[in-house]
Amino acid sequence: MSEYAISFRDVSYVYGEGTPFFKKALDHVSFDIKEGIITGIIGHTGSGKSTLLQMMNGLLSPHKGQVLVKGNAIGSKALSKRDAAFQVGLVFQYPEYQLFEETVFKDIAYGPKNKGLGEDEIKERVKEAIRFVGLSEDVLEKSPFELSGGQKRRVAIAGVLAMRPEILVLDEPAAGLDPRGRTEIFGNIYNYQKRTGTTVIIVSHSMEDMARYAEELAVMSDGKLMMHDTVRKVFSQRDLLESIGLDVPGITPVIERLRALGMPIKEDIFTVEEAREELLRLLKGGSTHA
Amino acid sequence: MAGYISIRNLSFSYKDDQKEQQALKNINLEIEKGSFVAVLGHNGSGKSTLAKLLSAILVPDEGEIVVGGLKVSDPELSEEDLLELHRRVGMVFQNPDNQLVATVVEEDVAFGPENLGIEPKEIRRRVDEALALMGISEYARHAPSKLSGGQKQRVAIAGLMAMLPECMIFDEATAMLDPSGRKEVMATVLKLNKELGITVLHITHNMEEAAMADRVVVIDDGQVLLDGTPEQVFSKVQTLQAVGLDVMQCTELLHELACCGLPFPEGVIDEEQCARLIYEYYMKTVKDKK
Repeated sequence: MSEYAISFRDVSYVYGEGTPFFKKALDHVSFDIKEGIITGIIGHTGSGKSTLLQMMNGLLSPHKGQVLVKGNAIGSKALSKRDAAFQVGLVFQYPEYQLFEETVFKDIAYGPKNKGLGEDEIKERVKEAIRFVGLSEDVLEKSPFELSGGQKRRVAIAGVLAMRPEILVLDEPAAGLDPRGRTEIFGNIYNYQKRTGTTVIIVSHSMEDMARYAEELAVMSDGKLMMHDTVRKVFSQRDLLESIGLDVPGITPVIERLRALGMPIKEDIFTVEEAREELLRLLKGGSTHA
Repeated sequence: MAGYISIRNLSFSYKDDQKEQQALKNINLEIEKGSFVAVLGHNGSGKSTLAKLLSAILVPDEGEIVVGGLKVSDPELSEEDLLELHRRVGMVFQNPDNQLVATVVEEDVAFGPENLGIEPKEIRRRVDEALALMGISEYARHAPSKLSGGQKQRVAIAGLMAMLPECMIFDEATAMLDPSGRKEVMATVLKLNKELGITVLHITHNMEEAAMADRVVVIDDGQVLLDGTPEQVFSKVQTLQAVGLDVMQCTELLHELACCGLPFPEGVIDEEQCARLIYEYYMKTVKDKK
C-alpha cells in the first residue's frame, strides 16, 4: 500500500507527433497526490490539466513515464486499465451533455449495472448518490432532459459517485453555473469528501473556490508542473501565478495592499472569512463573530 | 428621450403542450446609445431570453422592443429589417466552438460581410481592420480549432465587427474561459465601448465583469430587481445573495465588517479603495487609543 492516491513518475505526453501540430502536452511531470484530501489543479487553457486528468484513470497512457494508482502502475499486472477506471471516477467538463438514458434512475444506474452489481445494490447506490448531490428521490423517475442545467450536472456527477470510486476526479465541476450553483456543487463535493474520506481531485479556474475548498494545489503551465504545495504556499506566489496567466483570490490584493501600507496583518489570508476575523481582531480588539 | 434599445411592458412565456412557463414579466428598460450595461441574474432568471428577444430569435407575447429605430418585437418583421437588425446588433454566445463556421480565421471573419453582399475589396479592408482591432492579425490564416478559447471569442467578435455593428450583446461570452481568456475578452469589450462608442449589453454572472460596466441591471424571476450604477447595485449585498448572486470579495469584506458594527460603506467595488478605507480607519483607531 502506498500513502499516495495517484503518483506521476516522469510522465510525458505529446499530441500530433511528426505533424506541424506537434505539442508537448505533458513534459516530465512527477508528483504524488495525497490520499484523503481535496487537491486542486490549476493552470491556463492548454496547460496540460485535462491530459493529466485523463491519465489518472487510464483513459490516456503516457508516452514516457508511469502513472500509479495507490502504488500500482496503470496497465501493469497488478492494475489493469479496466480496474483503474473503476477505482478512479472521472467527471468530465459539462458532464450533463453525456446523459442519455430515459430516466434519471437508469442514467445513474448505468455504471453500477456495467460493473455487474445486483439489483438491490444498484438501487441503494443510486439513492445514496442522488442524496450526495443534494437532489430528492423524486427526480429519479423523471427524464434527465426535463431537468434544469444545474440539476443535470448533479445527476451526471451522481452517476460517477454511484460507482463508489476510491478516487474522484472532476474537471471544472462548476463551469457555467451561477454563484449559488457553484457554492452548492462545491459544498456537495466538500461534504462528500468529509463524510467518505474519498480522495478528491478538482480542476478549477476559480481561485476563490480553490482557496475555500482545496487543501493542496498543483499548478500546471505549458505541460510542466510549476508548483505542488499547500493552498497557502501556492497563493503566496502571486507574481509567479500571474506570469503564467493565473490569479490569486480577489481578497488577496486587498490584504497585500494593507501590508504594504504598514498594517500588521497576517499575510496568508485567502478567503473573506479569514480576512474578516483578522481585521476584527485588529480593528476591534477581538472577534465579534456572530 | 428613447434610448438605443427601448423595451416596454415586455412579457414572454415558453409554451409546450403541457405547460407554460413565464420567463419575463413586464420588463421596462431604456438603454442609451454608447452605454455599457451589464445584465446579471442566476441561471434561469430570464437574462438569456431577453437577449434572444432583442435579436428577434424569439417574439414577445406582450410589449414592444425597439432597437435603433427597428421594431424588433413585430412578428411580421420583414426579411430586410431582420437582416438589418443582425447587421446592427452582433451577438456573442457562451461556447466559442459553436459560433465559428470557417476553417480559416480570416474566412470566418469575412462570412458576415459576404452575406451582406459587400464587394470583395471592401470585405478585405473590413476583415483586416477587424483582425487588427481584436489583436489577432497574426492568426489570420490559422485554423480556428487551434486557437485558445479567448482567441476564438475574439475571432467571433471580429466577425461581427466586420459588419460594422452599432451594438453588441454578449451572452455569457466569458463563462467557458480561463482567467486570462476572460481578461482578454473583457479588454476587447471595453475597447469597443470606450473607443468606438458601441453600445454593449453584457450578460454575465461574474461580478468583477459587471463592476466594469456603467450600469448594472439585475434580473430575477423574469423581472428587473435592481438597476443602477455598479456601486448602487453592489451595495445591496443581502438582496443579491438572496437571489443566488454574489458580490466581489472586497465588497463582501466591507459589508461583513459593517455588519459587525464598523463604520464602512457598502458598494465599494475597487480593491485599492477598500484597502484605503480599512487603513484610514485603522490609523484613526490606533491614534485614539494612544
